[in-house]
Amino acid sequence: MTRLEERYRRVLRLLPASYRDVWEEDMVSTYLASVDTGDPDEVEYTADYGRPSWSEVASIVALAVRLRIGSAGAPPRYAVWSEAVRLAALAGMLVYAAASMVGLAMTLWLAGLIPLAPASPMPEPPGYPDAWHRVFLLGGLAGLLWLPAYLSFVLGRWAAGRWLVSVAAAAGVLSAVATVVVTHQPTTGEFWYHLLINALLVMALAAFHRGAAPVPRGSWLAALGVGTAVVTGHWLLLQPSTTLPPLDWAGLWCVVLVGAAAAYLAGRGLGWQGRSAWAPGLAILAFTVLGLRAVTLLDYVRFGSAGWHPVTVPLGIVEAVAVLAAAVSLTLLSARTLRRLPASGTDATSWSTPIP
Amino acid sequence: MTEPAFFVLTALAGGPRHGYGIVGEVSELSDGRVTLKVGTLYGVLDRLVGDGLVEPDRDEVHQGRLRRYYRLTEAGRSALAEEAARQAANARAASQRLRAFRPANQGLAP
Repeated sequence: MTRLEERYRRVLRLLPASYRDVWEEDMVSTYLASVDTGDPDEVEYTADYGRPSWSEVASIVALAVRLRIGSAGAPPRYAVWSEAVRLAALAGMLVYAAASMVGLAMTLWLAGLIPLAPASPMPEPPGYPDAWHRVFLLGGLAGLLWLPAYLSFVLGRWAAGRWLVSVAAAAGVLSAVATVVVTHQPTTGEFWYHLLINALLVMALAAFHRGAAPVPRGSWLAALGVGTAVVTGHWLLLQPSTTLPPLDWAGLWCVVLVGAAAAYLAGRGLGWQGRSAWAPGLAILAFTVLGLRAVTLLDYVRFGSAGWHPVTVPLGIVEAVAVLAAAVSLTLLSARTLRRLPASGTDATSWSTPIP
Repeated sequence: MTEPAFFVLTALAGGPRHGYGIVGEVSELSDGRVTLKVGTLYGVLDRLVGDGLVEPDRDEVHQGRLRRYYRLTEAGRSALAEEAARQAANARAASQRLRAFRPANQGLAP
């Protein structure tokens, strides 16, 4: 075996073992044929010193991701992973959709379009150039797209949902770039973290493949109601007329996540099983929220926490520790659950059935 | 049907081919525009085999290595024919519309 072949086989280890059992030899044969230029000297040199190109490696990485989370008829372990990613993606979209609902209501209220509601007490921000308003408006409109995107996934219109999420994420990037260019303000870590989350969300949509079970409508529509109430309550508490609460945006989701994890773990402790995908799904969300908490705490260190309640930062550290504890517990539980599930299937599927 | 899947089926319409043969044929069919990476090719092949549109044909040993040949199934031939007809109809509609609405200042250059 040449060194090039060894290196290529090492890359192929990213693929699930049961997939490799079926396809590895053929993939190696095809790859080695593709780098054979016919020139003996070059072939010998490549065999010793060549490495799979980045584009070849990227194609294997993409295949590995798709097989694990986006493959219809995948073996039970990967099917649970796929469901966990769908759960986490839906929960992420739910947060954005709830914020969209509140944003939409705010916009209508500020425009005086909600009958019987008192006039907005918020004055126009003085001294900002018109361009700032336009950028702000663009960002607001991009944010509103998350609501139809979420509803599309809940109502089973996944193709439309994919488009809406991609447009919402792309509009978010454009609005972010415009904000940086127009305001010349230093950007926060939270700002970049949200862009990263959007990119991960777009990738996670691969888990909504054609063999995936439909989203339970009733529960996720009710969750939108609850999420909107939570975001509205938090937003009302943040008004200048009230004393600023110590719970910032990241803190809010830390509390929600720790509450959900505690309820789930308590349920498991009492013998309730639930779906296998819940533990890994909650673990993904826990690490996402932990990242948000860490990034926002670093922002406070960088830019100061003036204007926030003095307890915000110490409380933030406590929240981070609590979310970390939840993340570790959920990861251990997920590992135990997933290890019990077979990583290769016996049902008639595309990659679990060896080709004769 | 995705573009790589369409080209893989088209490459196999001419007869059974092995993996590298498909890569070369797809590149030729697309005038070099589509160069399938190995991960992409086997992702597509895996789906097509799973959907019953492609099946293994035979194994041959070439320079000490096993080469697996793939062929189109009857279902694959029908799926390709349907997709080709759909794309041809789309292209016809676009061409007719372009001919009907050619701006007056075009087509007069020497």
